[in-house]
Amino acid sequence: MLDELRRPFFVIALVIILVVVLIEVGSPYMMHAADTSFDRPGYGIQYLVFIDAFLFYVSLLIGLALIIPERVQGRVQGCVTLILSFFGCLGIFVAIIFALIFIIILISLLFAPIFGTAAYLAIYGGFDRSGANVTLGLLMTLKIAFCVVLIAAHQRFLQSKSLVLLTLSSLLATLIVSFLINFVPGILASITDALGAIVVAILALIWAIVFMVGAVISIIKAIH
Amino acid sequence: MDSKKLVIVILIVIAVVFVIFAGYGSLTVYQPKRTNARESKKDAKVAPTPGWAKSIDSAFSGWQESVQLRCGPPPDQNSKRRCDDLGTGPIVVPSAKEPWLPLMKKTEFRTLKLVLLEGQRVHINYLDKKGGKNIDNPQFFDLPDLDNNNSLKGSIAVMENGGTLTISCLDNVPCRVGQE
Repeated sequence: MLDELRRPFFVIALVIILVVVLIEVGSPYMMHAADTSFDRPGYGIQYLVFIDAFLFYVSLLIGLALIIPERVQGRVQGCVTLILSFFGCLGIFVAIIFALIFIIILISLLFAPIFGTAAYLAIYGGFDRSGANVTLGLLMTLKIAFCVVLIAAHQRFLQSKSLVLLTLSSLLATLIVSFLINFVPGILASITDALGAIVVAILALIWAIVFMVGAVISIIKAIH
Repeated sequence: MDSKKLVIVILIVIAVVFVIFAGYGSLTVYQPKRTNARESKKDAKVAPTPGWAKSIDSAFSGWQESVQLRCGPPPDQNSKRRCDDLGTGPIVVPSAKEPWLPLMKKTEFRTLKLVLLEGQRVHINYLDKKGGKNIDNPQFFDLPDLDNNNSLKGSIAVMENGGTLTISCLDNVPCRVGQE
């Protein structure tokens, strides 16, 4: 049983999850790192950032506890979490509406023969599934590496229910996007990708609400 | 089982399932290449719309931004159509509404569904102001559409800036076209 945190492993885990977030938001540096470019076609991959940003935030809080005194962190953490989760909720809600509108446009085009269907097939019929799979594969590899390195840093991380559940949610969300992109006929992949984005966003919205409620409770406790 | 081992088993299962998904998608499912508008039009002709698809379309059509056209006499209250008589000649198709959310763009595509209500044959021509995106410009077809099982209905993809729709009755027989 490990008693002490192995800081190098923990820092590596933080860097890995930061890289995941950067790839999902489409950082120009990450997208062209080492002369390779990672495509992020569709909405599904981009929307994964909503969950992974929370995962990065939780990991960062654990890391900050090593640097900042516990007394100071206890006071600040609740307020910061409340602000972040509130704006996170708003952002995710708007993102859900965007994806919903996109799906409605796609469906109405697809079922409007001949020129609507033709436009759908010409523009959205050839979803870049290979590019999406490459990016999702990279993200999944990094996320699994994050889990392994985090356990290597300290086994007691497994006792943190929120961290474990959030990590599982992130992995599950990646699987959902992958499933929805790959298990439908190619011409429908754009629609199911947007559907996957909505599912992921709803999952992230639930987490944002959980964080917000937790933050409010901790602030009330701190006041009393 | 030790929690560490359990996590490793879960991670392996997730990795295997992911590889199966990605492998299935990459290797076994037919994926059409990006086609141009002419090829897509052919694909659209050979694919009849199934009943379930029509149900999905009708469920979502109310949510989509509609194309507001000049309409002759307003439709009956019981009519399911937006307009029962669009008249003939050129009709201005307005641009999409301004977005109601910040950072949102105008609706890039709207669908204009037309139906032949009276007359023998009608020619529909739509010239989009902007065009592009691999969509034919102008878009034109006859109703009944011989290429689409003599369907009395046809749709046009309207881009955000709108354009001009021209309805012409053929064979010197008066006609009436409505909008769904």
